Amino acid sequence: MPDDSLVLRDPGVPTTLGELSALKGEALEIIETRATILHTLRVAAIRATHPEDWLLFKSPAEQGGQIVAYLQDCGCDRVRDLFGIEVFDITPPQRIAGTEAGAFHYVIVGSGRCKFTRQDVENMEGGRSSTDDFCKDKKGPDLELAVRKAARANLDGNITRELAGLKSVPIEELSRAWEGSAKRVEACRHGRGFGSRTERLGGAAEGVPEVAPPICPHCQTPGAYRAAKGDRAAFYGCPNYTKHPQQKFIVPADAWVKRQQEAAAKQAAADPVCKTCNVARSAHAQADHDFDGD
Amino acid sequence: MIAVSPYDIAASIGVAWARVLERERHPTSPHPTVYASAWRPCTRRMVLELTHCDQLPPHSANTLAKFRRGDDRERDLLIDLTRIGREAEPAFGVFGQQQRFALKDRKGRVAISGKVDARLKFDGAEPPIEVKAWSPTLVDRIETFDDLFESPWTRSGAHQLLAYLYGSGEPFGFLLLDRSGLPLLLPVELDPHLDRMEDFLTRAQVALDHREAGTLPDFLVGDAAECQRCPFYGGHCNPPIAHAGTQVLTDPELEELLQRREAVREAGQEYDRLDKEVKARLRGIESGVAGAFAIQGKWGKQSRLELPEALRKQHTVVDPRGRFTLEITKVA
Repeated sequence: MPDDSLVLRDPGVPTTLGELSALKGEALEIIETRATILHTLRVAAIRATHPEDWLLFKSPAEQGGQIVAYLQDCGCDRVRDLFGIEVFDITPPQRIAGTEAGAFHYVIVGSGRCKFTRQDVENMEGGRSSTDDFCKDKKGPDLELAVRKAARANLDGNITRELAGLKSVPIEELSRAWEGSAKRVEACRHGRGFGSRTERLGGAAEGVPEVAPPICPHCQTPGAYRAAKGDRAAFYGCPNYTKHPQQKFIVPADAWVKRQQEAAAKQAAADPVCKTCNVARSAHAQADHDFDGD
Repeated sequence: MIAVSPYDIAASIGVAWARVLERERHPTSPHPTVYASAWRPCTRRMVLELTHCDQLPPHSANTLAKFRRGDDRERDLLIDLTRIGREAEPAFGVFGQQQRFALKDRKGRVAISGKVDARLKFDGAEPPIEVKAWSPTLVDRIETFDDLFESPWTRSGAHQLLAYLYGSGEPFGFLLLDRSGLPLLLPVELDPHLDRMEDFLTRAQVALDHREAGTLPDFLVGDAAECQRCPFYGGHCNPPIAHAGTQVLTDPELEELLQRREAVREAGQEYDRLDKEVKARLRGIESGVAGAFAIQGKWGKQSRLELPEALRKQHTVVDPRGRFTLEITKVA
């Protein structure tokens, strides 16, 4: 194979369709090699990050519940060296007053380039607000500086994410890249789509009735609780309803909860539970103590 | 009696501890000379530290605790050293603790200033000594003074002692590194590092010029990692950054070699393990038969150089690029 075609295997070397077609049979091999190198680099970049660097987002269940991962600014620091990211033409940070009293934002603009793919992005923005979480205990010049620094970190992160294509990575891709290492997607942080703040931190969902949900008769999936919204009352629906759009499954929540509570009360009256061991009278024969029904 | 959880007590003590340390925090203010401990690879940062150090975020309680520990260790080690000096051969004294130091530039201005931790008094020599209580992970990697230039976290400390030697015209001094077990006392000679010291002084002079003119030097070029370590990054300094990027190797022969290597990797590991075990068992058997295998062994001469530790150290040369470690992982 001539040296030229070897050089063209590097995705960082510019080429045109004309040049490639002149190489005839070798062109396909060159394109395949370039694609493989890009893929290898992407996997290597993901392997260089930690689960804590990623924030997971989940689409609504009715849209399929797909989970994608977003590489946070701290994670971008780890992949910049691999992609050969450059950040340049940076403007001075601009302070913008917020709508709330005392609140402000910093915005900074810059351009970027990836040496590896030769892609450029121009006039990207990075910004942070004084109301962001990391500013909670800061005030005065300390707060100003923290927001300004975070805006620059966000600009570097935005450029890196854009050029490296790590803004929205399917969770399955993370799992595959971390195979053979101790890194697990379960350790990634949860963001939008994973319920309330309490739920994201592992707590129970707020406002969801504490009764077993109805089961969708069409796909046997437990129904999802949908809280009341505007004029619409709360209801249980199938989270996979897009898979059987012609077969509706909607159960009014109030009626379902009432039925379940009544059934539970009836069950409790017919077969009371021992207060010592929480076992129903019908199954208490094997217990090592007397049934406590008081 | 109020029921209090031990976890609550520990947490409240932690909060109070941080509060006490934070109360002792004193603000930094712009200063006219470069501190001896403030050698930086970026002259722009040196200027910003002269003019804008008061605008940096205050040190956290954790950092203040580290400073406190450093001060405590310095005091304790110097007390120990005073006692040790009476028993050492030749005996020495420890004096001149926290003595002010100033180094003038070619324009006659004090360019670099600091405080020498102490001096050791021998017959005819008074070398300065600098005490450092760095992180154990840093100190574990240090064997000679040259090793200090390998890490971005220890370079400024190395320049600090060189500045003291240069300023007082002493040909040698000592760096005392605290660590678990015996502290490490490193001898430091100025002569091999004169070029570093002259560069420090020149850049301190440039920094002072910029301070007086109210200007800033150009951004540091080609060291994105250093920029991102700098406390002024993003706040007062927004340099362009350029990361090198990974190297693309497009040699199909190399790819084939790697594929083949990967294919036989497990078999190779298995062979190495078995070979080691078999040879360990058969050591010393000069002739034998095991099942279908004939075994022939032979003793041979082996030359070994057994040198006293001091002599071995004297003739040991450290090549910073002598060892190369590769990790090859099939990822795609």
